[in-house]
Amino acid sequence: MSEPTTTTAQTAEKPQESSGFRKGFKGQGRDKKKGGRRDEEVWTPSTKLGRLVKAGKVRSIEEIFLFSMPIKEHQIVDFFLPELEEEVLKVQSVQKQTRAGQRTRFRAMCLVGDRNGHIGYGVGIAKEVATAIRKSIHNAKQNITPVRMGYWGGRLGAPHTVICKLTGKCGSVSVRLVPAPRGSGIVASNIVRKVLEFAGVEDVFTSQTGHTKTLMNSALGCFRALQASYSLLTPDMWAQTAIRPDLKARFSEE
Amino acid sequence: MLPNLRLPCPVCSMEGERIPLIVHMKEAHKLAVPRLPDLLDPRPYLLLLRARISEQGLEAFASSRCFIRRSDAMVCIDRSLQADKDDRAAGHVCVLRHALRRAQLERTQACYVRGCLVCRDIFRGVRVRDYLKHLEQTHRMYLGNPDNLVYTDLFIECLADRLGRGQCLSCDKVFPTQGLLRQHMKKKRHLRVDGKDHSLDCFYLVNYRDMLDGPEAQRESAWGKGSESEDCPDMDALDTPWDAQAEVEGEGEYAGLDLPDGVAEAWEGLTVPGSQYQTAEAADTGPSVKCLLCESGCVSGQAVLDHMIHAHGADVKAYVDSVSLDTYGCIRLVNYLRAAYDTGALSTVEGGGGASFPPHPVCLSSDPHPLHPWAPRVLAGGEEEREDCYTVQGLSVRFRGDDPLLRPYQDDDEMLCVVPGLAYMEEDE
Repeated sequence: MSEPTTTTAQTAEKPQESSGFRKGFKGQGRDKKKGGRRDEEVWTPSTKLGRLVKAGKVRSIEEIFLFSMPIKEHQIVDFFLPELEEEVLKVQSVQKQTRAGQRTRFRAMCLVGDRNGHIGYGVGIAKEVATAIRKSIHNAKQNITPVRMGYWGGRLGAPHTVICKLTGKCGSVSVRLVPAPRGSGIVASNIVRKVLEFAGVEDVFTSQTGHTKTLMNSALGCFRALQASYSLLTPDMWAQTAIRPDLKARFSEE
Repeated sequence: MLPNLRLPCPVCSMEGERIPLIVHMKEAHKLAVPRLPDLLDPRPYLLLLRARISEQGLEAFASSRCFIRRSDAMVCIDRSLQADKDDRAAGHVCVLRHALRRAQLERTQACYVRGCLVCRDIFRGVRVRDYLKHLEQTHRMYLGNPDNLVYTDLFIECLADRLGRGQCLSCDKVFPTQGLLRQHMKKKRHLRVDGKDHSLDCFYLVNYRDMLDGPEAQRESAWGKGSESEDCPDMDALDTPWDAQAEVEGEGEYAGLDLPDGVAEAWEGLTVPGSQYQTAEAADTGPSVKCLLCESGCVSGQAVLDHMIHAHGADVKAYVDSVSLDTYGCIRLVNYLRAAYDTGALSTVEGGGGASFPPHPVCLSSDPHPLHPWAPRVLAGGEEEREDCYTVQGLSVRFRGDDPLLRPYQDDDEMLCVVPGLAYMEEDE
């Protein structure tokens, strides 16, 4: 048990100031940058999956897709797919009525894809256009999904079309993708063609019904149709495979 | 009266719009022309008046047969003056003849270019009545009988100006934003032009006929006499406001924004919709969709199907249902029709200007055209190729691995997206 200390004139002196800490400083650290914007080059994962990815425990993004794990950080996608292309489809202003007037924000819709079987669609809303676009890109990366490609006729060369007839719906717009022979190209409207090009589909016939002028619904309908490509159990998947623990269970000690 | 018309002064060589001209005549020449605003197009009448004044002099013509208003010391032309009546009638006949010619031109020429007043569709190379039909059928906006309308391009521009200012077409109320205007017009169903708005009378042919003083004066003086008159000025020589190449331009709402690097390139050229009534940029839309059986173009694939029914009597949907075509069959049908039309394989309907629609593929001829969807390919040994046979509900269709009819015959063919959709509902998912 320590003896009670007594305060003397010597001990009452203030300790030596550490470097960088001045008297009277009101609490704002000198090292703290104004604006609060993080340096994007240094990624500090905030999720378990992010930590595993940064530590190199996850070999490819397909492992994440295999276990249907949600991606909450866009840096995970940047880690595996550094060559992703981004395109802003539309930016529109949306308003909300408040007692002080109208509050206007901008909503941006964005596509990301590597033209090799991965496609993402995202939406971002913010007070400024640039921020909305940035948010939509991050959201699109988090929503990235694999696209299963296939053949129309003979299995020669690389897969060039969708695996089978696919349908995706959003709102009133229903988008149907039909496999096409090699050389047909993408027979679709402008916005659906863009989504399919980003996914890496080379030949496909499409059909749209509903109010197709709604760009967001058309793009999202096509995106959902492509998402459905891996939701089908085809005969080549019938063989029984060993059940493996998912990434979080496998690296639970990390 | 037609907007932005340059009216000639009957005394000097000055030209101007209606109100500035009236003010000029009053201040410079102390002349008042009665009922000038009542005339739908007073230019020929003013030209005839100028000819008379130049012959007889202003004081002689106006003072010998009129009264002088002592309050403002002006001269005016007596309404009962027969010469003035004849000039008015002759001028009216000129205007009516020009309006009729113009109406006939608008009925036949398919060169109208404009964006829709309500949606973002752009119409290129269509007749004016097709544009009005789109407004009526798609947006329930009825502007009048197309046969009764004249100077329709100016009419649409007038309406577009009003809508752009936030003014309702029916009740003339002005709203601060386009969204409120649209909401008001939709809620109150104010999608018709106000019948009591006389500023738009010049766009309806029936008003040209009823412009004169009653039917008696119409029969006695104007029609028989004015039509034979050689003094009637040549309206076509006057500056007519017909702009068939009006380009629709709209400014992006977000032009000049400072965007981060890498995103600005993706942002360039992106069109951002503004108000509901703002017309879209011309560069954002693709070309019109060509009909499968003739050279005419329509704004969309569905419009082509409607056109084929009305113009050629070809109901593609009924045909697809009758032979139970599936998606691939529809694609081959479209490519076959495109190729056959270009190569002249389809027979031409006499006087119709379009190709006939095959009622059934096997009925075309005993020796089907090589481009026929169901024509089997004969191999070197004389046998028919049987590879990749694909049977469709009772109709045997042979798909080859390199079937040329499955490749789009025309680039960006919207019919390949529309026609297969007709078979979509029939197939099992």
